[in-house]
Amino acid sequence: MPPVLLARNLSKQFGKRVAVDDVSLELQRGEILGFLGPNGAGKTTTIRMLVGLIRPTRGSVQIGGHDLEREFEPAMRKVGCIVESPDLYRFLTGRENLEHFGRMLGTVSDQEIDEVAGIVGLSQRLDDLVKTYSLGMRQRLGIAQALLGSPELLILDEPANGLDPAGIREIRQLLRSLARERGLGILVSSHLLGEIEQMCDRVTIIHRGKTLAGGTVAELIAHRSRWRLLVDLPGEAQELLAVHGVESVRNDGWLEFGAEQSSIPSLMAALVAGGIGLETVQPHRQSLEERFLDETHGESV
Amino acid sequence: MSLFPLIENEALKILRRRRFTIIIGILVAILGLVAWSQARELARRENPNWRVDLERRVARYENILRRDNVNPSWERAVRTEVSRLRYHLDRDIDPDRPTAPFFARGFANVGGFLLLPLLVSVLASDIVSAESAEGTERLLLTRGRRRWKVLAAKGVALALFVTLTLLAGGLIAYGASALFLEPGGWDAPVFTGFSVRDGELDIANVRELPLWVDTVLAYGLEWFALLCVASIALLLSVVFRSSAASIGTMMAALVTGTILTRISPEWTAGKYLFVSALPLADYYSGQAPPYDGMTLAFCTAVLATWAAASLILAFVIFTRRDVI
Repeated sequence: MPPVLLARNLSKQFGKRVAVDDVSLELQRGEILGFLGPNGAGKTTTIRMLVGLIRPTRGSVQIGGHDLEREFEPAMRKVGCIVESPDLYRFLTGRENLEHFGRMLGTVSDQEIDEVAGIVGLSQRLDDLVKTYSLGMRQRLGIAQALLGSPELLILDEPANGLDPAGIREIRQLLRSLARERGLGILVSSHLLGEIEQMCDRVTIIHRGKTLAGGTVAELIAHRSRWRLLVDLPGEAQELLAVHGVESVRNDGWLEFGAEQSSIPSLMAALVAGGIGLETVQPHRQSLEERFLDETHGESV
Repeated sequence: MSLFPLIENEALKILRRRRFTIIIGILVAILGLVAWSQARELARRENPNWRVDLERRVARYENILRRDNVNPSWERAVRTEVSRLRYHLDRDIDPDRPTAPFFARGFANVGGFLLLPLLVSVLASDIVSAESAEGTERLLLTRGRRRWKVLAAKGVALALFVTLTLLAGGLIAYGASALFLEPGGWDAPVFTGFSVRDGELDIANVRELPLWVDTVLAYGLEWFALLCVASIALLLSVVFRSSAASIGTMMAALVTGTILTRISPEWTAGKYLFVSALPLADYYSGQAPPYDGMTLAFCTAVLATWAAASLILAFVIFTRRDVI
């Protein structure tokens, strides 16, 4: 079975500016891929190329084995998406919006409309005008719209935007169950790193149009474990560590360094043998956020 | 897969945006006011002896026809006038009091000049630009239909509502005037085909038609002209991302084009402007176009060219551009 989403070497140039440079993505059924990057990194441009809103300068997109350019309709029938904000027709009711997009797909029954509204918890307000909805309800209607027509791939740009913490948890559970139970492939872009960390199986980090790192969340975090030391002679300890090829930095009284877990016992033994009084050693688990800041050289998200 | 569901969507959006409601409201207000003021004006100069006056006029014309040395083209003109006056005497309708059918027929000319093109551009101008302005374009283009189908559905829905606008205009014109004026008289004779050649009235091509046939012809020409306006407005709506910009441009084009053709008749390239060719119903009824050589066929061709070029450009831009 082909991957549900396969983007190869996507590049987009606007005039002289290269917005996206050689980005490749692959997504299997049942998998949630986080797409992470600071503003202006090329996230939204990439997502627009994935759904045919922007024509790539180079590269190709395949959805469920259909080439997006040559087989646009069969490819797009497999996708539900929200690009940027979930803007729906404010002068129509929620149900009319779903009927509108259902008619475009051609195969959507009234029963299916009630079903997707139930999934996102909008059944009560479905016959009210969208302009009376809160931002969170619009976000949920956007997701209901994306679920119409039993897609195999969901592409959601910032799905947690405008939701309160409880709403965010609901969406997270909903997306996980859609991936687990229905086998949907889901691509989620977000600037909420904690969200990506909790929700996604794999993460791709993009910065200045280029892919910086990719892998499972655990891989990205455990890539190089960091450790913290509290010692009586930090200056000498630093020198000793350097002798063993480990660079360390002093931070707030702590000595921080990166090393493989397997090398820790021998390093500590060397320190003690060198006459250093060891008070505390602890793994300093890096969050995805710190990892992300590392990768993007401290630029804010 | 058929376009019908997409057309249904577009029609739903036009109705729910209240564009058509606003247009009907404007037509009712304007036509009601005009019909009412005309009825008041007529009541003020009502002639109770119109039958006697009319019979005298008919007798005078018949005396002329009885002479031997009447110019043959003159004779035709007088005969047509006599048959027109006789019709009014037979039906007991004062010819100087317009009937509701005449009022409705006249709307094709008067409305076709500016009012109907403006209403059509109100309808057409935000049909695409509103989707980009409100952010719904991104969803509309990612729901599994090729872009040309989306635009074609918008075009068909637009043509449908342009047709309804014109029909509603005609019906409201008739309805409003029937409140104040004589409602009957659809079969009254009208004479069309007058033209000016070398400074003289040329009546060689004058034909007599019943009013209802004349009305159908005038509305048919106006329908064609409005579809061309709608095509141009559709292009503007594709190009501009804001509805106000596309409505504004269309109105500016209509108004400046009209002024231009009136004030500079020696600038003959003006006959290729769509605005000069737009009042088809006027030219059909015998009003002289602003430039020489603008026959009805020429005007139709000018409008068709503008419409075709606009549609081609609209489709090319819409299907190729990046949606940012």
